[in-house]
Amino acid sequence: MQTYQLTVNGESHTTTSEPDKPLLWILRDQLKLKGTKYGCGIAQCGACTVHINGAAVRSCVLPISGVSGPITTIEGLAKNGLLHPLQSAWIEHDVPQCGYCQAGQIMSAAAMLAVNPRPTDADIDTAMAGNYCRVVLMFVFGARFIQLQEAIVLKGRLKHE
Amino acid sequence: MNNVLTRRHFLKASALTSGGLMLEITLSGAALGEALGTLVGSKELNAWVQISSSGEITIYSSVPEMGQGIKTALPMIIAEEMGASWDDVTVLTADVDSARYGLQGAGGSTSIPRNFDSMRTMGASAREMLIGAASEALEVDRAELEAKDSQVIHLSGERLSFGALAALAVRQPVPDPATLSFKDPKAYTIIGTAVGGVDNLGIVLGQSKFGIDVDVPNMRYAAYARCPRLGGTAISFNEQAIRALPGVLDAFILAPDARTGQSSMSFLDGLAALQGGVAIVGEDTWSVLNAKSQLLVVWDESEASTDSWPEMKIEAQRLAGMSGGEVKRDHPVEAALAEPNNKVLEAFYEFPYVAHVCMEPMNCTVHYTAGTTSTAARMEVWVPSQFPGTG
Repeated sequence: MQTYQLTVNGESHTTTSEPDKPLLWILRDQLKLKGTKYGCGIAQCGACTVHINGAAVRSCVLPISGVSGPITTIEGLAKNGLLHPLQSAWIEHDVPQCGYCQAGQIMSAAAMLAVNPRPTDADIDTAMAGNYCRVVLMFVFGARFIQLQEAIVLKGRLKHE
Repeated sequence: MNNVLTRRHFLKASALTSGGLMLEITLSGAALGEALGTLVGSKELNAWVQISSSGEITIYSSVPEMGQGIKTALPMIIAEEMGASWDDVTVLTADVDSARYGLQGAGGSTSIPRNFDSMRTMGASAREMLIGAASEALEVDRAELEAKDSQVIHLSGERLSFGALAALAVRQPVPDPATLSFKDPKAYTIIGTAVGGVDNLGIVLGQSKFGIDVDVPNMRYAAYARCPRLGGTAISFNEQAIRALPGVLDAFILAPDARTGQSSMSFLDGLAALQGGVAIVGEDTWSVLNAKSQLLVVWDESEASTDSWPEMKIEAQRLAGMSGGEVKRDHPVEAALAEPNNKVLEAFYEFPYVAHVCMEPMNCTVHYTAGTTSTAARMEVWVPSQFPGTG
């Protein structure tokens, strides 16, 4: 067991863990941040996506010893009581179905938009290709993000694959 | 606590006469007074609807939500019929309680047709109780009142909010369902509109609770490795190595349900029956998943099923080559086949034997509290399920 210092959603945490325990289980079982989901455990479905230093990573395969930088989870995406524009867009366009994969979908999309505010359809397809939805809500492949002045509006193009 | 139990017994008693849908005041004397007192306290109009004195309307959704939107759709029907404003409605998932809610399951895309009439009956009975309350409060004929926008409005323009009427409404007699009338669909203001899923905000904030998110203080975690063949049993496993892994507290073999494979076991019991395997208990999810990945089990498959997909395909091909029996005959097929201008297409279709994949990885949380001399043992179960209550 080793001691690790983590910054999660702006808060400092000290935790002890085996070095190879994936970050996902530190978040879910130790810090009780249940918004990040366990799907496949082998980085194939994207449900466990969080940000480290702003980049999207699959927390189910990232050992705690490999974490270097501040972590943001779905619980930390809204700031100062304000929803992230993607969260507002998700509600406005009634995107979620069962919702299980949505934290991962939103975190992947937010990481992409942070570095690429005007993505093309191809950019979106690439960024979202690793996020799957069980209830065939394959909106990610057809989703289009359009930046209008300050607001980012997601134009949901629902596509049943 | 006694009041809660009384209320439940009271509701259960009425459910017997009305299919679990209507709350009917059929008790008398002291029992009635006690039940009514409880109802007034909870401002509960029926098993589905509560109205607080400040006007918040709580509607319980009794059918499991799996992404199909039923947690939003069924309460819309109630809110529509009772004249509520959708903005005042909070939807909560109902407990599993078949005495109150009847069948609690979803399947075959039937939840709306199966529940539409009972939902609007709930809404209409709540509406009539609110109108009855307003009729009493304003001393006017109930025919001069209508429920709209979470208010009961009199012809004169005088109006009372549902919240103001809540305490009085629960004292009203529950209407006989046969006397209820329903809104003309042309007058609908909620049904047919896009209102958005009631859980959307919770989902995008990562706050929506799924089965796997249940957390009980000091809980332990378990993973179970089943025999890959149905009906097999575990003989031994690398127990010492597994027990030495970090976070592992216990590891042991479980025998399959003794009825497995017997014709006395129903299909549904068979689906739910325990399969033989190895259980690992640990401090957190990762400890047991990690240990499970390192399990080496010696299986006894001598009594196990030998079904295999390749063999099923071969058997299907063989059967397809034999002459079939006649199931249905609507038109003269022979004549159509003999017609030279018609084209005959031949194909062999097969469909893979695939599992009905779950919304979230299979999981279940159980909290067992041992009994004492004065209380019964209690087991609380949380499970993401399509059929939590069979009614």
